Amino acid sequence: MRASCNAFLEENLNDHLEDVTKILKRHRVMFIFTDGGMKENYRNPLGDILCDFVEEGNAVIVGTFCTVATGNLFLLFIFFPIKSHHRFPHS
Amino acid sequence: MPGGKWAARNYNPILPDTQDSNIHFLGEKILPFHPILKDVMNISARYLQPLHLHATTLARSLTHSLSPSFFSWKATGEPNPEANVIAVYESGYVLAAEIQVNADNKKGLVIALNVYLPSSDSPLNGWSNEPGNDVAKMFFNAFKYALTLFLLLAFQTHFLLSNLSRYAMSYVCHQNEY
Repeated sequence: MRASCNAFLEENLNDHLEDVTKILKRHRVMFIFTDGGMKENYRNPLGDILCDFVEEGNAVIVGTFCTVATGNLFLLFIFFPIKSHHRFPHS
Repeated sequence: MPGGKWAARNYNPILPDTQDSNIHFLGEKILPFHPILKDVMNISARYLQPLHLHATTLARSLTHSLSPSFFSWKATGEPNPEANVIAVYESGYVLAAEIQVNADNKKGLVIALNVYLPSSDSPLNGWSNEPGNDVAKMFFNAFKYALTLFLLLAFQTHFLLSNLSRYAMSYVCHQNEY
């Protein structure tokens, strides 16, 4: 499980996105929730990562308020761990 | 909402819009037999605002008449035309929807659950974890549904591969007989 806030993302955006990408490689299902919308500098690279994740045959569950337009207070990611050596044969 | 390729390829089951805080309950089950709705009879996504809680607690101690302020935060966007809407609130806002993603012969899944995540068991004090409120069941069903799809795909692939290898073995044995 990962949680991040604006102050953290301001200083650690690239590291955070790199971490998310690495973690997603070992998981099949991801839940994402935000307490508000997302800032421009974050929403675009995260959108690229999520898009690649679902197009690789995985699942993203989107909670409120990922679908509102603006604002950002807090992000929460929940990952369902299936380690890489347990990946299924179709992947 | 996530931007970049996610937005460009229109993967959000609920289109971006504003948010609403009025209390709403489960309305119509558009796909009543969908696994996400299994045993989900009622949804009451009430969010107890912490500031109001403190104010009310103070006021209640003085007056014994006020009750806590409840909200029900949710996104108000229309469903994506590409999405299957599974259920809506009685107000018509989307409660649950999904988009099946097909890219390079790989099947991905995007599920939107339009509920403020934290429950009343957490300090953020979101939806009320009480008997008869099936929010937790809906979340559990969604995770189970997503995982089951992968297990099903894995089983199908395993079945196909084992049959292919069995066929290949019988072919080799058959060839060796000649």
